[in-house]
Amino acid sequence: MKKLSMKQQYQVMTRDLDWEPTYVERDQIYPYLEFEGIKVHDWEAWEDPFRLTMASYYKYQAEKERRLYAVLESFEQNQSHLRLSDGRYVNNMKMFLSGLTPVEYAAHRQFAFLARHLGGPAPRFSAQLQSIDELRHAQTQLHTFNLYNKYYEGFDNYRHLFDRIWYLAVTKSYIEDAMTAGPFESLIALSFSLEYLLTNLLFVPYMSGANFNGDAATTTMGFSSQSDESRHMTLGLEVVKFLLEQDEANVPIIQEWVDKWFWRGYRVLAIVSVLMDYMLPRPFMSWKESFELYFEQQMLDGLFPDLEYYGLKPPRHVDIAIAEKDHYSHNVHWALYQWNYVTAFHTWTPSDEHLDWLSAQYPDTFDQHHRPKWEKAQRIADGGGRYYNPSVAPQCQVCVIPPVFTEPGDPTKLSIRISEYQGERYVLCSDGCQWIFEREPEKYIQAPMPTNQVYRGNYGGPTIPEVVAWFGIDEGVQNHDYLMSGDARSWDEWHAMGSLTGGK
Amino acid sequence: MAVRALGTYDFPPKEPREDFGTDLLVYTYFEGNSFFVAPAAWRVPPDMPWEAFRTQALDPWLGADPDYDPSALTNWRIDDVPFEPKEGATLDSLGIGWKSVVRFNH
Repeated sequence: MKKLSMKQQYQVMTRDLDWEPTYVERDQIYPYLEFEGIKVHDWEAWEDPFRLTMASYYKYQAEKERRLYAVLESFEQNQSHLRLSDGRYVNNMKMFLSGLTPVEYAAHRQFAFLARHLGGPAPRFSAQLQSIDELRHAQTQLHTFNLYNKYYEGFDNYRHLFDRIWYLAVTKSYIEDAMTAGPFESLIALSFSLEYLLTNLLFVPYMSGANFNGDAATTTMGFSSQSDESRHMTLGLEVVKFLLEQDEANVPIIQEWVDKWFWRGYRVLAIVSVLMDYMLPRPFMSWKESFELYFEQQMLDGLFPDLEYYGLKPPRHVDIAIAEKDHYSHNVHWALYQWNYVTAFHTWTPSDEHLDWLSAQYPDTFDQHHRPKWEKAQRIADGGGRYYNPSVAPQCQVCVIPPVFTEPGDPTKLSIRISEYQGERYVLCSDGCQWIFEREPEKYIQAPMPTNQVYRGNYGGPTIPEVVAWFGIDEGVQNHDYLMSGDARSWDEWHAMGSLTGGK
Repeated sequence: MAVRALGTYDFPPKEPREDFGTDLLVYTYFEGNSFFVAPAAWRVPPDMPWEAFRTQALDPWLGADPDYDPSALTNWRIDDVPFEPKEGATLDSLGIGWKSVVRFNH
């Protein structure tokens, strides 16, 4: 038989495998395609620039896996974790593992659903590949972080933590909101807003930060995923263009989803802002700078002028995100620091050098609004104490983050919004989340808020030790300040023993 | 706009007020003191005297700030309506209700 070209192979092995049903109605096979109001007239117009077949996909992926696992093996054999910038660094990975790896796994499930239920063979096939990609990402992350689990606390219980801990309700709520939406909304949420608009802001800092802090394992794992992400980004852009071109009536629906999912994704990235500004012992780029580069320049100045042709405008509330960039990480990390007794990772009081770095990165705001708080915390530490906030806070009914954000334009005042629905009051953290809530209140009233659950006695009991145990945190092991941790003791002991560090 | 769904979309709230019995959820926000990163939430009975609320909730919370001065608190408001705390008065007689936001500053 004559060998087919790549293009012919793609046609034969993907699109041509589809068939028209004869003895059941099409809408019985694809029941989810109508109710969101999206109109698709021609599924064949879907373009897939990658034109992969299953055979070529597995070949590429297997090669990536071989390279990654070779690096992981060498990382382990050489005890490379000892050459990290500092023992504090691994706390980033604890946050990633418990907060984002379960989201990768959930995305695998959602894309498997889309691979079954989208209306054309080409997008179904793209979704199928992405589903396998997401599963691979979850797996490679687990295998990479497993290298740390042998030596550091807080890596052994990620799935339980994801389902229970208050701050992980942020990413859990995000992905469950997407998975309970219709197929088209979930595509805009995951493929466009997360994989296109925000993915560089998520992945590049994590992996560059890993590289900058001596973590070759995570850097390689990240690059291995990143090559899939470029395919996902292309899918994300194709989804938006395809749906906008199919029918003019789709435009306002897509616009609202872009508005909603930009804001939802941006709030999840609060964790990345903390990583960049506070959690890397060797910081390399501020949240503000990366937001300007990867979002304002690449997306607002680069992408959205192109999308204007299709009638799509930049996301609603993007002005608030821009106004917040000077304060975002500082407010969020200040929360994690003062509630460190209920987290499954360590924080620490930033050193004077680190504060100087932050002052230089945020020259107009840090010294006035944020540095004094850290200096007071240092004063408490100097006296032998540790500043903890003994109260619990309400959470935003949409993003599940406590209202720690300040008013755009007034960094001395918290942004607190209250919405009423069916005679009940709900707390929201921002105009962005309030807009999302008021668009679909009947959805968000079903969400459990961690503080309310504690006060109902649903989280193991009424006292902090009971709640900490119910979260799955080993008191005194995974939580509290790094300086008091077993991780810190181990790190110091290992580095006092020359033989383990290769004679350093 | 309502949720777009395949069928009827009508579900009860996850945390209805009845589940808290007769108790109140109350939020307190110390404006202008960013040492406390967020407002605090309390579950309290409506007949709790202000003095008990102050000594059992506010003081232990705000005492985490080494510069806390209980006598300096002023400008008390419930959802932006001014009120004057009285030691013997109960929370509900002061006008503090379900999910009220009690604000104050230095």
